[in-house]
Amino acid sequence: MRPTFKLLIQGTFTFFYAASSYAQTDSVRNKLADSKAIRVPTGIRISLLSGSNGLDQRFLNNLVIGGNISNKKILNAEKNIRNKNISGGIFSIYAIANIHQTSDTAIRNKHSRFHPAYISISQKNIFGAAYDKALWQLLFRGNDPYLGQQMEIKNTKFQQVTYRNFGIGFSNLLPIKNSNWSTETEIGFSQVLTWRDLRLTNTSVYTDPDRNYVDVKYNLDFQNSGNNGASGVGYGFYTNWKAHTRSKSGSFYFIVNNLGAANISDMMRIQKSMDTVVRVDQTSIDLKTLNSSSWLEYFKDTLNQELAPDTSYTSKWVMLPFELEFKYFSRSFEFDIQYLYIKGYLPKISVQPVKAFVRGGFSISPELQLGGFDTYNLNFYLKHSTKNKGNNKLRTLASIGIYGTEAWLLPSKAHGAGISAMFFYFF
Amino acid sequence: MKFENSMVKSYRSVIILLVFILPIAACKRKPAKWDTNLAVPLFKSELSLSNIDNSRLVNNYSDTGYTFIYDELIYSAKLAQMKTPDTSINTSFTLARLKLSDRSITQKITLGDINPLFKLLDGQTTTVPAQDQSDLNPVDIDASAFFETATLDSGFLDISLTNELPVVVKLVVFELKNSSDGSIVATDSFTNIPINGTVTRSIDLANKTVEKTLKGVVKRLITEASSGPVLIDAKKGVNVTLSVRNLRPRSAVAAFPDQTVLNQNEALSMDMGGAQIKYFKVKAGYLHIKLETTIQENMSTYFAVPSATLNGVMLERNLTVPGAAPGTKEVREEIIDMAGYMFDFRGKNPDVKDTVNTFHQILIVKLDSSGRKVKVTLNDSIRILYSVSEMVPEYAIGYLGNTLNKTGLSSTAFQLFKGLEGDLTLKDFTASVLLRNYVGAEGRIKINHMEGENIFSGKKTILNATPLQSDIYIQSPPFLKGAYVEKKVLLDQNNSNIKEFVETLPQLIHYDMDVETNPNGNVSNWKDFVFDDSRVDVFLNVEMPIAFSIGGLVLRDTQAVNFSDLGQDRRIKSATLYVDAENSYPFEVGLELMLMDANHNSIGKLEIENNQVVQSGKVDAQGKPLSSVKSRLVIPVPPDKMALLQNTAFVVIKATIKGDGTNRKIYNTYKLKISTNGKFEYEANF
Repeated sequence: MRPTFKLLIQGTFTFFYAASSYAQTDSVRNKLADSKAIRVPTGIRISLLSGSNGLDQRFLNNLVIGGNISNKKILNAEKNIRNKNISGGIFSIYAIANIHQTSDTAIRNKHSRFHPAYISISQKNIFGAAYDKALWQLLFRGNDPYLGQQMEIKNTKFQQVTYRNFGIGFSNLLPIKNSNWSTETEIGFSQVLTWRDLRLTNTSVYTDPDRNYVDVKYNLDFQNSGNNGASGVGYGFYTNWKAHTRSKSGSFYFIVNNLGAANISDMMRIQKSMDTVVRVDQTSIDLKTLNSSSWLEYFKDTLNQELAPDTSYTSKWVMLPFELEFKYFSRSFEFDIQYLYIKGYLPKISVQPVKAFVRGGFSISPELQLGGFDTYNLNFYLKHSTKNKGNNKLRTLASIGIYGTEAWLLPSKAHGAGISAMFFYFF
Repeated sequence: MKFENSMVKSYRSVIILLVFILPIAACKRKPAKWDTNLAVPLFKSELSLSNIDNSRLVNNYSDTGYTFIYDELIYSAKLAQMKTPDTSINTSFTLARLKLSDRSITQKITLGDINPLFKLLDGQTTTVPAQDQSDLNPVDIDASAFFETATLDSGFLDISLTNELPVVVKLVVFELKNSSDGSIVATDSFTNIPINGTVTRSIDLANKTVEKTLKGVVKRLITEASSGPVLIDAKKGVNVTLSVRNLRPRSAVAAFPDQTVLNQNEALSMDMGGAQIKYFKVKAGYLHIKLETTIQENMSTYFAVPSATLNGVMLERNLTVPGAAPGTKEVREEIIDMAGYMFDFRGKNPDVKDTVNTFHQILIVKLDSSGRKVKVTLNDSIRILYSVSEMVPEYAIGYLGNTLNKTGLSSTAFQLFKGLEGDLTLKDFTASVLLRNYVGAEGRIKINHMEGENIFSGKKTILNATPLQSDIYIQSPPFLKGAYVEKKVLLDQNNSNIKEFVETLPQLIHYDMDVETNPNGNVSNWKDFVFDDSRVDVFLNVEMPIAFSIGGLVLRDTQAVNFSDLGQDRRIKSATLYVDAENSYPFEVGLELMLMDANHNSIGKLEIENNQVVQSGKVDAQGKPLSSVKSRLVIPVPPDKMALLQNTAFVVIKATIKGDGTNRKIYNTYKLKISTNGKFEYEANF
């Protein structure tokens, strides 16, 4: 398929990076920040991003989206990879629907019996890894290109989680009297579709230059829920919580998302601990009775005997990948620091100016991000908003984001990119 | 109203939400795939002359060179297999053979019984008037000593009346009845019984039922008057003695006496398939004795085979069978392992009549009286089965007969030149036809035809040899298991075309032979013998020094392979095999690998890159080994060949050995070491 078509298809999911809870233009954001109660819209937010501190974007895209990864891409990726690497990707869909909106009078009087309420559905697929260069090389190239080299893997971590949340949310459920604080709480049911966690330590592979033997040692702890299709592999509960306040300098948000746990009923655990190296050698045979099945079987038996790990099954409670976020809005810029509980993810800092290029209802905002699965990223958002006639309140809000612009421009060199989109309607 | 509008909008928003969410959430990511290259050690091997059976290699040289000796078994026949068919004796008998004991009981009819008046006169001396009495009181007679009850097919009741009276008994009419139903068993008249005399009448009991409780009735008693005064003893009278004899019951409840119901002592002959056997040592086999009875009395069986001994002890067994419960059958059996027994097949009494294939056996079956009264009817029977089965001789001695075995035109494989085709010149070799006789009898072999065929070149050579044109006679070996007599018929270039025959490099030998046992009859006087593995073997023997010249020789070998595990894993896309050879043989070797399906049809081949060969080892001017030379053969297996491997059942390995034409010895230090590894292109995914 042509790259442009690919881009078009990617673009149809208009993505917005999952760090922000609502897409907000500068003026709209500030208007909402002034409001005592948070207005609940109906809409959808979708984002897809990948990041790495070493792997180039072209390779990452292929890995995340799927399909055949050519040898040329692999060789190119190897040029950029570091001794210690992090990589990851997030695909998320979030949809929210207003099921009750408190009237303006009630908001002013702060005496409403009803608080703004909504339902939400979301699905996230996250993977993150911190790994040594040697692991990537063995995984993507095999051991044959590294004959005579000692490939050491000291510490590798990998995690992949796919889950769905079904929640209901309330604004100002517990109003804090005589203060400028407002809160929003969401609780819900979580369905885990896959959960995988791998730790590989103190591992080495050495292949004889003539391929006569391979010396192997590894220490592995791998937990895998498997995949049970739409019915999921585990169930649990989660909560989102947001607190908002204003001061003379600006608005503050403290956010906890997806704090919860789920029980995986049938978690497979594969473990192996080796202190010494095992040599996988050639099988001695009698040439007069050369029969492939005999040495193949012997070969498999040797591998099983010496290298096969232990497998067990158990029921296990796991933490969902929660997010912690702090936002600050001033008159001139927006600051965000966010952490995602997933292997390989570093705390991410984002800075975005409030003043953007505005014309008509459109605006373009740049953003600088550091951290996450990446080193740095330069993002741009194209936003559009409309207002209600009469009360001048926000009616629609739409946004398309390009994440990691430098990687879009230089996919074979830079790394970490994504796109996002959202649309919200305020009733 | 506003609230209702709000709710409608909310529901609409939920529907809009689902319209967006569901299709997007259903999108699935397809797996990412890429190719990796895996280096995998495979197998290693070493080929030297030590891999060949050492019994075929003789180091005849002062240096480390070898002479190679090769024997191929062309033909083998067990000419005198003993046939020992299973033999059995099955006998049964019924109640008709049984009998009841002859017994007697005595009952007295006193003077007092005759006329109570005499009781008053007891002890007195007086004249006894003539008496005429009728229907005297019945006297109970207990016949339980005979049986409880019996319905008889035949038998006799003897009634004896003994007159103890002091007068002559002119007439007694005596009646004997069953007490239970009053049926008459016997009635008869006895006349003129003198004083102290006895008169006996025999009653035929055929078809009569007699019970143990009888009544004796004197229907009429007439006595004469006494000749004078006589002493009156009221206790004396007429003694009635009842004796039963020759009873053959149809059914009876009685105590059966000890009796022999079967007594066999005879010779039994076995068919030995034409052989005349005097002695037979059993290697394996069984004797099975089984006794079935419905008779409720105990039985015992004695079985003996005086002809069969184990360490000098005769085979004999006693088998006891308890009486069967009413309505049931009692079975006893014993299986005797005959291994190790020596059978003397010279007959029942060889000192009197020395015969063959015949053994002496004894079978006696007895009824053991328990004293219990048991019921026996004509439906009861006793069955005895004894059989000899699965007899295999360790050896047999006798006359094995005259047998002629014609092979007709037959073929056998000759492995020496297996897979070989080409130009091989042999020097200084010798060949012979070797006959080995393990059978303890004279033999005659005639080789009518022998032809060698090379299946690759199609070349055939008939062996023409003067020594094979006439009969070959061979003697009997000594009487020892595994011993044989060997006769070697040497073939050389003076008496045959053996060189041409061998240089055909045959893989098949076609032959036609006659093999005869005892061509001159029973010259051993029944002293032929045969062991369980006795046979006649015919070998073709070739001896050659391993020093030969090779122009170009092709070795073929076909190996069955199973690549299904590799082939079914579609993620192995291609491979490269590296064959590292270290060769000290002074020959260069080229390899071809041909793939064949299960029907031996060729489906492709694996090419050696750049036609590489295994380089020849280095030797000195005298041909002695100096050093080995390493070579690497690379065999690519591209994706189309990987697909072929799935259907490959056989790999034909064709090795072309290239020499330089000079005569070279082969030393035991020569080795060919093979080390094979692979690089596999494997598709990984995530």
